[in-house]
Amino acid sequence: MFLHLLTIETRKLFKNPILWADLGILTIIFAAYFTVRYAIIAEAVRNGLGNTRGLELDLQVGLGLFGNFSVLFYAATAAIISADDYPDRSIQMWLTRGAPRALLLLTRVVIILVIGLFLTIFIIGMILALAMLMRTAFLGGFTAQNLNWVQLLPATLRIFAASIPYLALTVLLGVVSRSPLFAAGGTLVFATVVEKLLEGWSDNYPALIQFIPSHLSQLLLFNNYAIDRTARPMILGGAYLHESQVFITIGFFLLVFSALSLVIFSRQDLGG
Amino acid sequence: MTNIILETKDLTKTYGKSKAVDAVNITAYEGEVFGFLGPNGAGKTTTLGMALGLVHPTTGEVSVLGERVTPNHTHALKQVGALLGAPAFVPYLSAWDNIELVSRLTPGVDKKRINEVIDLVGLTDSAKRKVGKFSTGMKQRVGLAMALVHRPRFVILDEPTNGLDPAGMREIRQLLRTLAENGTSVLLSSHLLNEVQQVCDRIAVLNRGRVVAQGRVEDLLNGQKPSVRLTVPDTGTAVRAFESLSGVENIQASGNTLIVTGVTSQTVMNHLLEHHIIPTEITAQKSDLESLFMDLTTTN
Repeated sequence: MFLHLLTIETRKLFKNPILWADLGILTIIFAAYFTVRYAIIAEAVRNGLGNTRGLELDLQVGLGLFGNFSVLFYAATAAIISADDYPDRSIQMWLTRGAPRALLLLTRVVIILVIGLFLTIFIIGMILALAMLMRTAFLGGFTAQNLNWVQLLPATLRIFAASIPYLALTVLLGVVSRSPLFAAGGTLVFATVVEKLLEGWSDNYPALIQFIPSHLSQLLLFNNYAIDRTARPMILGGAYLHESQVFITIGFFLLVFSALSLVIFSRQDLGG
Repeated sequence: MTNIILETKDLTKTYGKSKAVDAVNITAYEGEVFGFLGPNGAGKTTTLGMALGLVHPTTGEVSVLGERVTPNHTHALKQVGALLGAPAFVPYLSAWDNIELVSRLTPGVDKKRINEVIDLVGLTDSAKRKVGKFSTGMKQRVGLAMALVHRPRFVILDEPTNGLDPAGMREIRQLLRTLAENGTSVLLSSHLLNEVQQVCDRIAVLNRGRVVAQGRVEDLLNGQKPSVRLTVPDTGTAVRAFESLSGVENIQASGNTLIVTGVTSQTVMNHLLEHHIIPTEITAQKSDLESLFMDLTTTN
């Protein structure tokens, strides 16, 4: 049954026009950004100015740009998977055919994690591809000698892991609200308002505040400096969580939010 | 002995202080077409929702194919096909894709069977179109196909002819009879009493959350009280006249028309003449499901 549900959910997702619209919009934003960026760099180079470093910088700049709206992007994707079939009652298609609720939710969490990882890979691939294309178009070629390809895998995993608390929160909000819009919007409000308010307490409770998802994300992404061979390790002041502790905390968020989602989902009346 | 396909025991669902379903006991047997009737808001869809594991009963229990069903125990539903209210489907997928996705929950359903069921419900020419753009009747056909594709032992259909034209309704009636003849048990919930009378072996009538009648259609009709429809110039005078007539159980007035229950047309005629009231029209009501339904579900 799990594999059947996995196939069903995957097929639904890949045929969902909202997913492709999301990816299309993201590609357009990056293409526009890199076009402007390299037009400016090319002009600077013609004037004997400008930094013509290679893909390692492009990747860091691209990931920095993605960081501005990554929560929205991940939350929108998770909301589609976890709550899209509440408003039109298509969730009944599976439940009235004997699909166990716990298994359906587990399938969705698994799909969200797999798709989250896939999308992270897509983002990194797209940034690199656009950077190569634009550098060739505007500067006549590109260099990748300072890009540490080996570090790309752990960097990808860190970016993905940083998104997990938000993905799991979106699932919970999707189940509670039965609305993909509320699920994505609620996660966005959490990231942009609630977390900022919590960060305001960081002076009083520094040890506690480092466990909130935005701080976990920062702690993980500090280590992505290593994709640039020339970069030196960043030294963080104060006592911070070790990377392994960050991963455990993220796992804890995933577990708690998923368990809460399951409790609520299994108690819901879904007849109307 | 015939197997029980659906059984509810004191099934109750409460929302706040209101009882949507109140100690409902119904039994449907294998191989029959069981009608489930009731006015809007009677609790039919909530009862079916509980049978299909979508709604938690407040008290009582429901068993399908001999196995208890709750939202967290739905194993028996693998052998059930259902169309509950307006059909649920993934709107951005085609009819074929929707049916194919649902069929994946049952091993052994192949493309041939999917095409077969698409032909059966008359969707052959539209199978590749997105369901979101379908008319109500076509969506209903998709819902039916999804309910039948895995050859279920038991089919629960809530208003399956909604949005269908008369020819479509006839096709569905025929389909239900064919299903029953082939051993599939059917529970049909419908507002169309004529449709139910033509198709169903047994019925249960629900009113305000309670079962007010259950049994074979003929038995229920035979037990129905006689009723007379008459048109009189002054209904007030006529109603006062009937107050002194023994046997009258109910009088419904609408304009110049009265429906008097509990007495024969001969008795009504004699009584009116005794009171010097001349009806312009008088008809003995035929014993049918509609009048039975009205008797059971309307109050004075």
